[in-house]
Amino acid sequence: SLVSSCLCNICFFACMTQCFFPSTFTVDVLLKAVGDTPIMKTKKWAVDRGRTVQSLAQFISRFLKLDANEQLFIYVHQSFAPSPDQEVGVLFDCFGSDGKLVLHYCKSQAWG
Amino acid sequence: MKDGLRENFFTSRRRPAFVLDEEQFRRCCQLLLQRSDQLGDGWSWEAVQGSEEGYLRKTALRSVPSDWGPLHDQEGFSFHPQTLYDGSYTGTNSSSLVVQYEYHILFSCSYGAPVLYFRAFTLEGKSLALEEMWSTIHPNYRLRLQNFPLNAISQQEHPLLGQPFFFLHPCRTEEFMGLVLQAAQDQGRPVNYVLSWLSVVGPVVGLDVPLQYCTPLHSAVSLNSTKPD
Repeated sequence: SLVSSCLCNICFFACMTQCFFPSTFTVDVLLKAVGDTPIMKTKKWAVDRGRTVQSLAQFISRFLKLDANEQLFIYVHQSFAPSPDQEVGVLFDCFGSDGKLVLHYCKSQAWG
Repeated sequence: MKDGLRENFFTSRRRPAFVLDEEQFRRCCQLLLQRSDQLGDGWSWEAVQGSEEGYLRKTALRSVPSDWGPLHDQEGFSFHPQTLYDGSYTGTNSSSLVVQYEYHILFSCSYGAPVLYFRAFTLEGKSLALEEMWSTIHPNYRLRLQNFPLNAISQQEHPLLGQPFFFLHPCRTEEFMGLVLQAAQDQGRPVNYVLSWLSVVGPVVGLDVPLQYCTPLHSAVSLNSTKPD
């Protein structure tokens, strides 16, 4: 029928788009503060799949107005820090549940 | 491992200190090693002859973009401070240098924490000096580390081998690990201290700790099938 043929076309284009432009899709990320790290007023964010952990950490740091020498760490499973150039989309695929990826963030003086 | 950590639960008034003991360290290392073997990540346990004492060891090749720091001239590296930057760093596709790394994870009794020792060589076998090593640190980290240039990364005699190595000073380890461990403990989630710690400090010195260490066993994929660094 015409409807199902239209749906097929939409699905086809959606799949093709995801294949060639994966970063145009976003994933839902829930940010949770660890320790006495400031809590973000907005905790739920739609993040581009292609965005890196490093980029997200910098965003959070600026949002929270952290000092230049304060390091912000991001963790999955509350305990594992993905590498800075890891893509959020990949983290979502591995650790996402209930349609969202929970990331814990923590500020700390880690060096020196 | 959770029970072992509770022994130190009441040692501090402000927040319980998460101090690792040597036996816990070894157990964490063995778990890490098992996973490394499954993933083909290349870690090995080097035992000190005639004792249970030892350390984890891994070698890796790493390509460092030459535009991260000083220009590479005929004589090799020369260090100059990275100018301040903002935002995520995207290097240009200029030439890069291949560096051989050797990483050791030792246990520090005095800090009750693992310590990362490492050394680096060019492919010709020339070992990197401290200044040269700085130029291989990703600019995103260098800014913060430069606030503590003498302390964060320095050179020291390897406690077991007696050779000069670089090492990441462990004095702040408990500070960031404690927060992570507390959060995980609150959720009743077991943590491999050494793995967590390594995932944080490894990337600073070019050591990648793949995500597969954290994903469930049955979905483990050999690292040979992922894209190379």
